Amino acid sequence: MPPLAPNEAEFRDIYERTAPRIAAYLRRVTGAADWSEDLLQDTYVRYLNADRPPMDERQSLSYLYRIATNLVYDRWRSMRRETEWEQVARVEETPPEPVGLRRDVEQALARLSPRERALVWLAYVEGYPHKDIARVLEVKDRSVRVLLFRARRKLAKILEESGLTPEVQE
Amino acid sequence: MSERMRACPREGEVLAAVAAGTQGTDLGRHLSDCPECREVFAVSAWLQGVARETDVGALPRAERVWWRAQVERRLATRHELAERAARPIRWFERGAAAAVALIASAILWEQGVPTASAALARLSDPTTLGALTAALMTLAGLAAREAVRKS
Repeated sequence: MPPLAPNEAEFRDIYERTAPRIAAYLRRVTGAADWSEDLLQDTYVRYLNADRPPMDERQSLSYLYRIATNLVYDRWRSMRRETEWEQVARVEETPPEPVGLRRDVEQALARLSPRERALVWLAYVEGYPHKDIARVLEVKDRSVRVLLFRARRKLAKILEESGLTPEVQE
Repeated sequence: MSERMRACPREGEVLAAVAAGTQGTDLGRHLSDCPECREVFAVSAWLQGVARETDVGALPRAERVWWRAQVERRLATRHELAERAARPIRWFERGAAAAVALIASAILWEQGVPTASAALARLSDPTTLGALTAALMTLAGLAAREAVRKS
């Protein structure tokens, strides 16, 4: 097994800068606060123990998203086997947030699949190009364009139906 | 999905404007004319609002995550060493099982077994029966051990 890299101080630095973003991603992609905390720790433990070349911060962040996504998929698959995913995602306890936003967000995002949530988050929150999204989600570059288009259209429709579409200033 | 996929070359500009929180008059006019960009704007503006408002609570401390990674790494190393140490024993056990099976076959062959009924009759012979029982028990024991190890 390779030695732990980076060292503890370097890790703390990377963790403090990236963990809030990975945590928000996990929170919204899983839709469950209790899982996202576990998955956050697992993501960084895998990152530390992985056999990988040295990385700069951007590469590390992309790699962390990839680990986090795989962990979400693993969890999702096991939940699907137990046919509880939908129920848990809907009824789980969430940390305090503005009430109106919380309900709308949960309901809108719950109508997308975990992969669709990951796609729109990486594209429109993180601003990742298609090539990077393909690497994180382990899909073909060309597929990202189509999958993202469908996910965006679906979310736009949900927002429109819920009256959540933001105002365009002219 | 039957909808045709369209893309506007100004989508990048829309994303940048949403991220910056500003939107020029020209882009505003474009948004009202371009349904694709309006959709990109709506989705990205909403998602970025969600990202800003998402309360992830108190994150685990970096020291705790570091410590857990070290513990897991030590456990994995220990497991790997134990696996490596047990490898020659497993090969020896497999070799022994093969030898027993070979000896049992040799005994049956040497005694000559022309038909199935004669083979059944030969089972009453204590030497044949003993050799077969030993071979089967060894193989069953090894299979059980392997199953326990894998679980």
